[in-house]
Amino acid sequence: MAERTRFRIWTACCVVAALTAAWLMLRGPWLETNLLALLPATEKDPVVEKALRGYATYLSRKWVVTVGHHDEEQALAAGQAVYQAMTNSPLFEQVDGRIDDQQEQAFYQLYFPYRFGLLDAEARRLLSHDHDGADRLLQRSERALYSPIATGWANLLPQDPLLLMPHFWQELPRPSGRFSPHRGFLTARYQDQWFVLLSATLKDEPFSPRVQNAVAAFQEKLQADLQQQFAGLQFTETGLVRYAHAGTQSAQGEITTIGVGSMLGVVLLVLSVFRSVRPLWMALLPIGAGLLFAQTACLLIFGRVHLLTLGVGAGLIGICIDYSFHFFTEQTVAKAPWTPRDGLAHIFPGITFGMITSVLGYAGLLATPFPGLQQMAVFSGVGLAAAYAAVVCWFPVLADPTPRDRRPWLLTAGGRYLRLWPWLKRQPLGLAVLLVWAATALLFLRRIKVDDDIRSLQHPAPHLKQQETFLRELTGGFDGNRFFIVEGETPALTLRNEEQLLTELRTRLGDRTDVFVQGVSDFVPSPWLQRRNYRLLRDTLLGDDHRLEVFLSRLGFESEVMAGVRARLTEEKVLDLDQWLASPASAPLRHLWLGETERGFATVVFLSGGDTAALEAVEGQDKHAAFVDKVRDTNQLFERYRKLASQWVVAGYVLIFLLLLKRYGLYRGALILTPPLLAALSVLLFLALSGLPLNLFGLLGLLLVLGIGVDYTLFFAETGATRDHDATFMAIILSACTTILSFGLLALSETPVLRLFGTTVWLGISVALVLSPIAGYSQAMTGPEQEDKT
Amino acid sequence: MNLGASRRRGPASLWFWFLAATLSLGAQPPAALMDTPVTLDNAALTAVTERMQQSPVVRARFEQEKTIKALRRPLRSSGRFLFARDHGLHWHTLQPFDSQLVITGKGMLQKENGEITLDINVEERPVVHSFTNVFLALFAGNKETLGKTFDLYMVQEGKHWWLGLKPKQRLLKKVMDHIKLKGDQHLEEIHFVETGGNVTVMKLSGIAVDPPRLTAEEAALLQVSGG
Repeated sequence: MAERTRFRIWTACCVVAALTAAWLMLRGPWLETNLLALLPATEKDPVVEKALRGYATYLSRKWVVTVGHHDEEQALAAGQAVYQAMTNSPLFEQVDGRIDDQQEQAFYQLYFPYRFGLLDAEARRLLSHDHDGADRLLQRSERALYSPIATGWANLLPQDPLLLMPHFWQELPRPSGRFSPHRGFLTARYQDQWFVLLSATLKDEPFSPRVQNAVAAFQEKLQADLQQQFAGLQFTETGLVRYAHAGTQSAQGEITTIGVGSMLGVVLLVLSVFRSVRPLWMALLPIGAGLLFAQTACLLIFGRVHLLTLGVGAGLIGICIDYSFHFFTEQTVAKAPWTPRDGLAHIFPGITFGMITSVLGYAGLLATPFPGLQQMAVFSGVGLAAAYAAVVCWFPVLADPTPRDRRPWLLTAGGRYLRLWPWLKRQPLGLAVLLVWAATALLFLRRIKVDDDIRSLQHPAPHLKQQETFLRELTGGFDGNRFFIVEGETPALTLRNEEQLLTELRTRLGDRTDVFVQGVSDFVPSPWLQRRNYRLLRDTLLGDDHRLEVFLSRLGFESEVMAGVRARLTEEKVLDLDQWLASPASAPLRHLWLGETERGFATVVFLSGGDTAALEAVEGQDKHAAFVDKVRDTNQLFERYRKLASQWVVAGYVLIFLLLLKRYGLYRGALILTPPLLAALSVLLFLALSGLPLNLFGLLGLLLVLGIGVDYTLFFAETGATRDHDATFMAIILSACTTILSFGLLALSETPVLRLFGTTVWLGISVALVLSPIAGYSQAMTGPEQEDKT
Repeated sequence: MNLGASRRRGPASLWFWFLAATLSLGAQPPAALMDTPVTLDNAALTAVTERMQQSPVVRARFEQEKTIKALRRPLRSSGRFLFARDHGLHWHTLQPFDSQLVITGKGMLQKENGEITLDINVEERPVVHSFTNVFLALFAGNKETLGKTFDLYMVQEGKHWWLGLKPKQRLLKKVMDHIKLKGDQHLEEIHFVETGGNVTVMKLSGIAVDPPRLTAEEAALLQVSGG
C-alpha cells in the first residue's frame, strides 16, 4: 500500500512540476543565449558594474552594416536602401549613419549659443601658454577668412567673427575610422570601393531566439534584395545579435545531436540487453522526470535557462538512466520468488548512496560565483534526484512483477572480465602497475598547458568573424570590452575629471595613430573649462589694448559685431550636460554617460587601440579613473577559479575518502577510491601528452568523474561479498556506456569548453569503468557456479 | 562602434573649399546665362571643353576678391596659379600673406608660411575625393564629370564663352547657388555665388601654356603626401 501512496504522491509532484514549467515557459522568453550571462561580474567594483549595465545593453543591441561598391552612386543608393529598410522595420528603435539637415540643425541649436566657451585645444593653448597667443589666434581667424576652408561659415561671421564654432566642430573626435560624412551618409573609400556605413539599434535585447531569427530573416532578405538590385555589391555586417544567432543555431544543433544520440544509445542498449519493450518505455520515465524537474527548478530559481545548461543537461540523459539500469539488471537476473519491491530493496542502498554523492558533488558548484555553473549544478542535481525518485516511486508499481532469470550476453561478457580480477588482485605486479601509472601521471602534471581565455567559451562562426575583422579595418576597431570609467561627486566634477584623463591619455598616446579616445567632455566641456575659456578670451582680447576691437574694425566688421562678442563674453553662458543629453545631437553618444551611481556620477571613456600596460599606467596615476578590460578581467577570474578548482578537486577526493574510510575502513575505502583517482590522473596524463589546454571547465569535469566513478565502485561495495557481482557490473557497464556516449557527443561540440568538458568526462569514465572491479569482493567475482554452492 | 561624432557639418563645410578656390573683380556675366541650359552633347560646349583640354599645363597670376556680407569691404588677395591637367592644381597666395593650396587626385595640402597646416588623403575622406574630382574637372574642362554634379548653361559672347553651373545635389545647393566660368582659349574667370549671397571672383591673367610639360620645380609643387 505504501508503494501505491508513493506512486501517487510522485505522480502528483510530476504533474505540478509540468504545469509550473508550462506556465513559466509560456509566460515569456525563457531561453537565454547570452554567453555573458554565464559569467560572474568581474568583481572589480559593484557600483561600477551596476552603472555599466546600461552601457553593455546599449552595445549589445547594435547591428552594423556596410555596403561597398566600386561606383559611388550605386554605393550611396544601396546605403539609402539599407537605411530605408532599417527605418521601416519594426525591429529597430534607432538607425544611425544618415546625416540630414535636422541633425545639423540640432547641432547648431545646441552649441552655437555657447561658442565662446567651447574653445578648441589650439585656441586654448595659444591663449594660455603663448606670449603672442592672442595675436596668433586673430591671425588664424583672418587667414581663415581668406582661405577656402572658412568660406562656408561666412554667414556665421557676424555672430562668430573669430570662427570659434567651426574650429570646435572640426576638432570633435571622430570615431568611425575611415568613414566620414559625405552626401548624407557616412562613407569611406577603401580598396577602390565606396563604402556606406549604417548602424541600427535593436528595440529588444538580442538574446532571445525570436529577435535573433527576426534579424536573420531581415538580413537575408535585405542582402538578397540589394544584391539583385546592385550588381557587384559587397554586403558586410556585424553585431552581437548575429553572433548570438549563430551560437543559438549551432548550440541547438548540438543539443539535438547529443539528445537524440543519447536516446538512441539508450534504446539500443535496452533492447539488445533486456530484449523487452517494457524496460524501454519505463527507462524513459526517469529521464523525462529528471529533465522536467531540472527545467522547472532552473526556471524557478534563475528565471531563464541558458542554452549551454541545456547542452550539459542533454548529457544528463546518460546519467539519469543509471538507476533504471540497476533495477532492470536486478530483475533480469533474479530468480523466483521475486517482486519488484525486492528488486528495489536490493539496489536501494547503492543507488541512494550514489545519488547523494552525485548531488553533493553538484552542490559544490553552487559555491562558485559563476551563474552558468550554478545553473548547471541545479539542473544536473535536481535532474538526478528526480530520476532517482522516479525509479524509487514508480518502478515497484509499474514493473513487470515476474523475475526473468536470464543471463543476457552483456552479463556473460562482463562476468568474464570480472573473473580476471581475483587473480589480478593477488599479483604484486598489479599493484606495481597501478603505482607506476599514477606516478607517471603525477610526473607529467607539470607539462599540462593551461588556458584561461574566456574566448574558449565561444566559437564565433568564421564567416561572421571575417566580416567583423573587415569592418574593424574600416572603422578603426572598437570592441566595447576595453574602456575607462571616470567618476565624480557631481556631473560637473565628473566631466572635469574626465577632461583630465582625456588630456593625459592624448598626451601619452597622442603619437599613436591607431589609438582613439573619446568622452562626453569632448562634447560638453566641464563648466570649469567653459568658464576658463571665457576668462582667457576676456583677458587677452578685451584688455586695455582693445585687441579684438582693432582687429574687427580693420577687417571691416560692423561695430555691432564687437558689441555682440563683448556681451557674450560677459554673459558667460555655460552649456550644461542635461541640455546635451536632451538634444537630438547627442543621440549616438549619450550612452557614454552612465549617470548617477550609489556614490556619485560616472561616465565611460571610449577607447580603441593602445597597449594595456600604458593604459594601466595612466589608470594608476588617476584616482578618479578605472581602466576596464572585460576580457582581461574575466580571464583573471577564470585563472583564479581554475586554481581554486584544482584545490576543490583534491579536497573532493580527500572528503570522499574520509567518508569511505568511515564506512568501509582503510583497505576497501582505498580500493573504492582507486578507480576514480586513476581515472582523473589518466585524463590529466592525456591532457599533458596531447597538449590540450586545461581550464576551469576541465577541472569541473574531473569532479564529475570523481562523482560518477565513485558510484561505480560503491555499487560493487554495496553489493557485498555475498551477492554475485555480475549483475552489478552489467548495470555499471550499461550506465557507463550511456554516460560515455552522452559526453562523447559533447566532446564533438564546436565550443572549446564543452569539448574539453566532454573529453574529460568520457575519458575519465572509461578508465573508471575498466578499473571499477578493483573495488569488488574477490569471492563474489568468481562466477555463478560459486554462487550456486552458497 | 560609434557614429556620433561624425555628425558634423562635414559634407557642406567641405564644399566650401570649392568656393574658396576662386576670386577676382571679374567681368559682368551676361544676364541670360543662367536661362540658357545646354546638354552635354551641345556642339559649342564640346568645342569649348576641347579647347580647354588642349593645354596640359596652365600657368597664370590670379587675383581674388571675396565679397562677404558681414564685412564692409571685400577681401582681396593675389598670387600664382599652376594647373596641370594630369597632375593637379597649385594655388599660391602671396598677398596679403603666404599660403599655398595643392589639390590633386590623391589629396589636398595646405601650407602657411611654408608650414603644412592641412594634409588630407583622398582615401581617408570621400567628401574630399568627390570635391577634388569636381574641382579639377572645372579647370580641366571635363564636361562629363561636371555634368554629373551640375546642370550646365552656356552663352557665347563674341569670342568669349560663359559657362554656368548649377548644383544638382541638395547638399551642395545649400551652400552654393551657382558657379560661372568665363574664357576664350583658356579659362579666365571663375565666379562662385554662394547661397547666402557671398561672392568670390577669381581672375587669371598672364596665362602661359608653354612648355606643355611640368618643369621639375613645378612637379615638386604638386606633390601631396596623400599618394
